Amino acid sequence: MDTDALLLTLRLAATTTALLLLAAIPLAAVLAYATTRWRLLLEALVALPLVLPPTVLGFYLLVGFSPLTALGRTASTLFGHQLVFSFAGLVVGSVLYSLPFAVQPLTAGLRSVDPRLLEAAATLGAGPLRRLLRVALPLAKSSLLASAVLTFTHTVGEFGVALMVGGSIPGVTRTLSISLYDLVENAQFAEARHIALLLLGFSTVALVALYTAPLFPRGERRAS
Amino acid sequence: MTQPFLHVRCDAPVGTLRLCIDERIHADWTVLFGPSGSGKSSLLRLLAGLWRPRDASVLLHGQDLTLLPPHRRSIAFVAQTPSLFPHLTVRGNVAFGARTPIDPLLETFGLASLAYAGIRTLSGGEAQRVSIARAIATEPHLLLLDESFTGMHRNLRRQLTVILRQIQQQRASAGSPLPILSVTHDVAETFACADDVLRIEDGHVLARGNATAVLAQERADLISGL
Repeated sequence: MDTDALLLTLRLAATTTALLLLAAIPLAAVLAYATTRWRLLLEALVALPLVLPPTVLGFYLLVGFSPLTALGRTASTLFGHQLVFSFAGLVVGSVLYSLPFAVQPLTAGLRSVDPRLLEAAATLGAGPLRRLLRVALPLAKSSLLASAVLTFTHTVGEFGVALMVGGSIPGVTRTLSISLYDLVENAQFAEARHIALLLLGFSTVALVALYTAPLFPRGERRAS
Repeated sequence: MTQPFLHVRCDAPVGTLRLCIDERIHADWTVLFGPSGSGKSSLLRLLAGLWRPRDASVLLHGQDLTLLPPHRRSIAFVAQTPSLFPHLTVRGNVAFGARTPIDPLLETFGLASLAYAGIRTLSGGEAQRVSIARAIATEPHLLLLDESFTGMHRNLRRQLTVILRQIQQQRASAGSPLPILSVTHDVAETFACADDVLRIEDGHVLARGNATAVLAQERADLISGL
């Protein structure tokens, strides 16, 4: 088992999930509650990675972050090294590619919150941010959890963008799925089987836990 | 109060009717009386800032609230169905937005023993008491009650009316009066609460005055229509 690849994959998934949840909360709030028509355009852009071939996104990141572009030079100054073929570049690619997995469940969750509760909060003096943090998000916490699980799981299984942006540098950019690809290419099927089984098991357990969570609701108590 | 503290004006469509109102409110407790679908609740939503038609204005104590969002109006709104936050306890709900110590309020509304109860375990009457206590805890400049006593036992309604009157007296003696505007189509409730009654039908104020005069007028209209 390639433990370096395993640890790198977990670090990448955790970093991507943390960053995406921070970005997804305001984005989902805009998509759920904004009344402007621009919201629809934003919604389409957020959904783009669902249909875009990962290699296309990887290609544009590769070109965009090359030292020949202003963006690439700025990123190099910011991180102290070029973004392509680095862990930071891998994170940027993962954040963009997993964006809909974080935003869409949370948007649906926020939209399902009873609007009368948000109106009540407003008449009790709560502004938009307080309504989001104190009412909408706690009531949509299962959607927030779904966003986190889906983002983490999707990042663990990411291949196309990771390969295009990061290549396969051991300990730096070689994730489990890239390691699996390399092993198969070199006909090392015994070890490839272990990694494939690990990825299959992880994804299955995560999704079964997510989908069966509503079967185990938490009870309420009543003071006597 | 004798001087008008609230001036509300509206000429806008709502559903199938048009709400045409231009009224100055001066009483401690004003009751909007009329049949369902006559525009009473829309008027309360207009005051609370939850409905903001273009051709409408709201002046409270001389301050123009027309363009202000609901959270900046200091107008508390209690709906017919209590919109309590299900993820908070009774205490958490009353504390939401509170600007005053909540323990005395919980005592006043008979909720002290339920302070840490979940919202889903409450009866309808208990939930509505939480809703009203929560609104009063924000120390609003105006309290709107949208058929908030509907479905309650008569004794509980009477008890809540007394409590609200006591709170009004306390607020008035502290120099920050709490006028109330309530919506009802219940005659007994109108007599019990009203200092001033606005009878609203089809989006228009048909009559205004004390409860006896307005209800007598309605009776006369009914008989003449037979």
